[in-house]
Amino acid sequence: MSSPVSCQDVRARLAVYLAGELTEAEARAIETHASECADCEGLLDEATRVPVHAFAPPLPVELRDRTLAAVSARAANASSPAVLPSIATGTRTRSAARWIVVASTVAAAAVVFMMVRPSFEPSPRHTDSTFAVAPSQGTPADLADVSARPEFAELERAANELKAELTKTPNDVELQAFLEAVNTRRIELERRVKDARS
Amino acid sequence: MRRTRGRILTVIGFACFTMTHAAMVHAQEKPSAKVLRAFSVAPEVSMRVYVPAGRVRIVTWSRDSVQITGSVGAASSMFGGGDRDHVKFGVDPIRTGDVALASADLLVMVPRKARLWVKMTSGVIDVDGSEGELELYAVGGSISVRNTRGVVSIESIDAVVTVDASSGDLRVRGSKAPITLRNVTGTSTVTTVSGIVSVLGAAPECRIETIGGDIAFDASALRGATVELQTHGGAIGIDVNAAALPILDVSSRTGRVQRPDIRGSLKHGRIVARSFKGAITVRAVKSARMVDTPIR
Repeated sequence: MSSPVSCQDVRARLAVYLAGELTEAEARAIETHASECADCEGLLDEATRVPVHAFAPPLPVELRDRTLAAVSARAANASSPAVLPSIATGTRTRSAARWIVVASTVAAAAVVFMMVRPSFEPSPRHTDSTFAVAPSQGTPADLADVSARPEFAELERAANELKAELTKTPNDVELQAFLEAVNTRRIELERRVKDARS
Repeated sequence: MRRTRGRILTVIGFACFTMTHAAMVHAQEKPSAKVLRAFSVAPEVSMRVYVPAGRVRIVTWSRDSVQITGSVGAASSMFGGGDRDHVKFGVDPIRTGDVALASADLLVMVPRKARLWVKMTSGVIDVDGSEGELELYAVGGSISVRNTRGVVSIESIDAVVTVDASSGDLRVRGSKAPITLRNVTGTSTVTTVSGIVSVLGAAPECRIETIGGDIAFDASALRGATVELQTHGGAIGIDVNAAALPILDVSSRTGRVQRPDIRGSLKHGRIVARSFKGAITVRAVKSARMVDTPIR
């Protein structure tokens, strides 16, 4: 994308830009255009923001109002003089005991959790055992050494056979077409393996 | 005072027992997080889905919204974002550098005309009913596509590919795993290296190229098809309708060629088969069902 970028280009390439799969020059061209075009700048801002509401529906307005009203009413009751005298006397001992119980429970829970937590790391087998995964005929490890894949050996053999024939009949159009097909398959496979590794 | 102390100790003891038991149960059976997301999108939303392992099932519906249900692997977390026109979501490992693939088992409901891009390393991609563009990539596992009308592009290295009832343009690029096309009525191009390619039912406008993989093409239900098949060393087997033989242009440089000794007619289509050293066998069979295709 070396030529000037238009608003249409920005809209067409936005998804790829957001996925981070444009080249640096292409991404920069889009950003440069956005800095000069208010519409495209707004489009980019909106697209790069992660709206929480996209993944969670907003609360109904009535629910929010009801909740606020209930909280206000409770706050008003708590400060009412009619309530205070019943808290003042006779319950001090129960309150202290209650606080001791709560604090002790929390402390005990924290101690127990710290003691047992390291022993129960989820086992790796749990990750995939519940999923219906079709048997894979290849693993990511197979992609480490591309030339070790049997398809590349097959492509190499086919290319050598065709080149040997072409030395005898160099102008054979059909042989040239066969060889071109082999070379194209090899280039495609190299690209796919490279993409898979990334 | 003594009574109060006793009660406190009882409560502490009970709390300790409860927390211990809860922690043990929680850690051992730590459930994969249940995922539920639903949000409105444009009818032709562009979506990118990246789930390294597990299963992604995509089903279309008549709503302008996306709903994601399922579960995420214990060591994986879901990410996502976007707006009404562009959405991206997937899973990645919780711990950076974790060698285990992040995984999920997701059912994604999308608008019929959504444009989808799905990538997996090892897992199952299953798409049903799409009318928009589809781009599907998988290294291993399987890719299944059914009842699609839009442009479909599939790339696989070791994933088994199955396409059923596709009426739009179809392009499949494989490597080693088998590729099966059934009742495909749009144009299709299939290229692979050593995988076996099977075409059943239709594929009236079709080009298939392999290097060492065999091709099994059932053209007995086609009339007016234009088919080109090419291998380097793979065998080619073609069934044609005995009552409606197409023009057969078949040759192999060094492989054996067997074909009916009857001349076909262009009105019944044209099949070109070429191989460098693979055998080519054409059988004329009786078929009750015929699918007419205009000759181009």
